[in-house]
Amino acid sequence: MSLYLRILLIVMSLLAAVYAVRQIRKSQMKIENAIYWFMFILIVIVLSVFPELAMILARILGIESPVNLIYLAMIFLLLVKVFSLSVKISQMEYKIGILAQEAGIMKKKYEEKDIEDEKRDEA
Amino acid sequence: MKILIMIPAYNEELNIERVVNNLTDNFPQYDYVVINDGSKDDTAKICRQNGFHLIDLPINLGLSGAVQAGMRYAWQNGYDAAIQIDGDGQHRPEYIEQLAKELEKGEAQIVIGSRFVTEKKPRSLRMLGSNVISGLIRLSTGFRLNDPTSGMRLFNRDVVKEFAFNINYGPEPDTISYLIKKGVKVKEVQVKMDERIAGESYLNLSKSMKYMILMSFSILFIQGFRKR
Repeated sequence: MSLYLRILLIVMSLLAAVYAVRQIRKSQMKIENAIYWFMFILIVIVLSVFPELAMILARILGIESPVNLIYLAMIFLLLVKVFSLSVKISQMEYKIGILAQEAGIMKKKYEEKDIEDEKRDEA
Repeated sequence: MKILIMIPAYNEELNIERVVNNLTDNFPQYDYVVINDGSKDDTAKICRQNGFHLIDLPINLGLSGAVQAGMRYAWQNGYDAAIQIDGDGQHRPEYIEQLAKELEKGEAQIVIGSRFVTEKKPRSLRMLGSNVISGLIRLSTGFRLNDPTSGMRLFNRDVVKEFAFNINYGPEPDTISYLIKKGVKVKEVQVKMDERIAGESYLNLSKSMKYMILMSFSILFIQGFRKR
């Protein structure tokens, strides 16, 4: 890994970390969701600061260049995240559906009650 | 002081009747509300049959969402304080009076029913986790919280409002750590807790590990950056 690439990775990671922290400060993000990104950033920083680690891992896995290992790791982690987000979105769609249905049913109950009350008032 | 007891319940059909009946029979001076967190079992049905006060969430929100519903209810209905009591009957309501007395002194905004103020912590895996969280809170805030994972916490109205209307206010040690850091005063009162009699605990090994990682990371690295 060239020095420039390492510096670039570290700088970008730190920027990403600052951005993530700002999102939490502004109450835009749940902590349990932010933790994944902090871990991600931490891994990238560790591998950039200690490229020997990436080299050893790359050699074990039979990857020629350590930088490829970093790409591979990132793609893998992102794929996992995308998949889990996809699962989560499905669950949320389902839950929103249930909330809408419950709200509709509740509204109907109230409206029925209103009509009954009106009838009673007239009588 | 008008106190609301919040009982979050997820699949507690085996326990909820006993827990609430104990409250209504022996502690009628307190108001309570069961928050059914989208249980798959008959928790809601049992509550309705018995005429319990019930907030029936149509979906499962998780503990923090359920407690937040209780906090909102407490805020909207003018309660001076709110306390969480687990739906499995671990927390004994006879200690609420002591906690409330401590809160009424006005020196603390949060009073925690703690197992380890005067008693020693037993040695087990679970208590190791408790010690780790204690240590991290001490490191981050300088405050010695003996029983950070106790769910039996009494909050005054100001804190109730904060819980009711903000993101990242789960009823967990990291939120307490954050609040301590921001100047909220916390007190602990020695209580006894019972073992769960029936039903299954929410925490298994992998969930506990996840919980520990989340709490540690959150207390150490994230809570310091939040603003109140």
